[in-house]
Amino acid sequence: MKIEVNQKEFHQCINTVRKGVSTKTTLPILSGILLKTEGDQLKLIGTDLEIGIESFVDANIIESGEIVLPANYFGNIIKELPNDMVRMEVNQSNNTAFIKCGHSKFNINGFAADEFPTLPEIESGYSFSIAQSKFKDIINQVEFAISQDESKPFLNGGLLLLEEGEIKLVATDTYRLSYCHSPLEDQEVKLESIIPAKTIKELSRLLDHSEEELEIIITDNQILFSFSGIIMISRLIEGQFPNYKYVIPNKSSIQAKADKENLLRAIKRAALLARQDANIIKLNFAQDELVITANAPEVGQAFERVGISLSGDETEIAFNANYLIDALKAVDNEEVTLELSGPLAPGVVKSQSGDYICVIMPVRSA
Amino acid sequence: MELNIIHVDMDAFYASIEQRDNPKLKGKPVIIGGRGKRGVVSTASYEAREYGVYSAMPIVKARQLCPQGIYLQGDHLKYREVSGQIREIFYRYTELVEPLALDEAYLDVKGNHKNSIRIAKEIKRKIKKELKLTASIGVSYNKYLAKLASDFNKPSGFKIISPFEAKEVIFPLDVNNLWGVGPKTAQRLKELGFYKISDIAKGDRSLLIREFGKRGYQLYKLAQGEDYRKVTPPGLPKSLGKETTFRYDTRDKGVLRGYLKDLSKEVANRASNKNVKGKTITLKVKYENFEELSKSRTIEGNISKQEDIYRLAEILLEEVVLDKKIRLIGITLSNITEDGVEQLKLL
Repeated sequence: MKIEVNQKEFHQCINTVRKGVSTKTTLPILSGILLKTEGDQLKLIGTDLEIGIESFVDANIIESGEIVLPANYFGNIIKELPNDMVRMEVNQSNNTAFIKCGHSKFNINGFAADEFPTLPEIESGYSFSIAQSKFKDIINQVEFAISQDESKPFLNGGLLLLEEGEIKLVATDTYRLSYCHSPLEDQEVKLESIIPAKTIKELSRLLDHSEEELEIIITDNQILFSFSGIIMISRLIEGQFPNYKYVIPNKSSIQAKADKENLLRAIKRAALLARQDANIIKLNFAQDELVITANAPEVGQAFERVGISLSGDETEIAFNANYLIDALKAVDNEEVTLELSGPLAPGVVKSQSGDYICVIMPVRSA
Repeated sequence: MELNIIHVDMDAFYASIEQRDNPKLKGKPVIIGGRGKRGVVSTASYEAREYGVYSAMPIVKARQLCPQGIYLQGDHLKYREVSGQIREIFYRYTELVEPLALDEAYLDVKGNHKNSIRIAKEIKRKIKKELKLTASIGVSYNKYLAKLASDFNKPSGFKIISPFEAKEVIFPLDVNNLWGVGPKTAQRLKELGFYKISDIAKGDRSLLIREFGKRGYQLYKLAQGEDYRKVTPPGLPKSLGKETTFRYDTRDKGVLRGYLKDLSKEVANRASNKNVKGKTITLKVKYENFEELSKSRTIEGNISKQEDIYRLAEILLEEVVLDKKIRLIGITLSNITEDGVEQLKLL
């Protein structure tokens, strides 16, 4: 293999696939990136066999071929090279690559490409498209609630649902649940799959705010995302995700509307003096104002007032401030509604448009 | 500067309890410590000390020095109970009790209108009368000097260090008598020409600060007999941990899981005694070559039950590479909160 690639484009492409590369593995070849010439392009793949990310970079292909290079060394070398033409020559017989750019020369040892394992190809599955920016927004609104408790693997991902002509994403760590839904044209099947947290995180990083299409293909145990010349394949999490419909309360006795930004800022300030161990803040809902208090023993107290319009009885409830902050940050409207049904019942944060809902359990204090 | 700080240090605590409860042991060298080849001495009675046996010495060594000694494994539950009885005596005089160990505590009696020396004498007398044990007591105006005083004429000592005589008492002492000065610091101090506490007190403060940083300033102050640390009753523990060294090194997962179950139970019991919960579980292992490794996991909720502690510890154990045998395993629960508040669950 003998190729020439622009340093900047090369670096960008490596950075894209590098997130798929395994960081801790007992299989050394998985810490590498596969490079393979394809037509007038160079294809790069990184995988940890849970996710695989594939991307292309334009190249001047003088001689075709393939090799696996250690992602760390190779990635850092290309990153630090001057923005110039990078020439790379692979000795297929001993799997080494010679890299030359300006006055820099590197020789690095790699692995034979035919030993590189890849995720099984997606053969057939249900396919649909959505605008990149739309899907990125949905992810960003839901992602934070994914559980990290490894003893419940089915919660270590987001539930993607296609039903009732909509696309929905749900995540919960059992203390809170975030939910986002959006209409999806020409969508008639009913389908559900749990996408691993890492896949969701990398996807959110790689998707951009464009109206360009993101194609999604779902099979029984894999999901494929294709966008901007990048293909990402991920295994799905097996298991039964809890039924979100039972978790989201369908009625409430108290509703309070507030300006989202004001409320978020007030909570962030009050949280500065929330008890460090449990992050508790108290919310006291009165007719036209919400009083937020926090008390950190030995440090001091915080007191915040936010204008609201309340329907229902006045009430007091305690929450983990971080849960409220996460939920409010995900609201993309100016106005937000808080719905409650008593100090020990779940609280609901809703965006004005109703597309986004976050259910949070309160804290019971002794 | 009032004489409000009292340091109480029980004399050969564990050994004295055993001698008290078993008259046959009176006057004999009694050594409490772990059984087996790897055990160390936790307490030696004064009779045993005559033979050169001291705390933290390997039992094997102690047996060489004092073969006729009576070696006991010790009954920690009993010692804990007696320690509680002693603390109960302290609480009759003040709430400000800071235990350092089962056999040692600081008291601040500023809130008690009685004269502190009289309180200290009463405490000593009550420990003797009610519990049949002796304590050495130091009274002074700060923690450092109170502790130094209790150590002066052990056993059954009683010493007051007043502000007027403080310098006279501490100046002639070797620098290793300063709080926080171990062998390393002592050596460095001597290299710098500080042999006695008076050398530091009269020495160059900026040299000390240059050499030891913030601690240098603290040493300088201590040498003047000044110590600003407060007597602080224990708040929430920072962590609750329990570890165990195996009789035989092992790499058998089943055996390790068995130990984890027992340790989880002990940690859970301690959490429930203290009425706390925690967010983080740390698993510690020590390999046969004494290499140590710890892995931890923090979860969203708070846990305190044995099942929950074990469940996380087991996940962590899966991450431990068992290419070598293990000699010790331990579990710690940290990120502690009071059990009073409870984050409710949706599912």
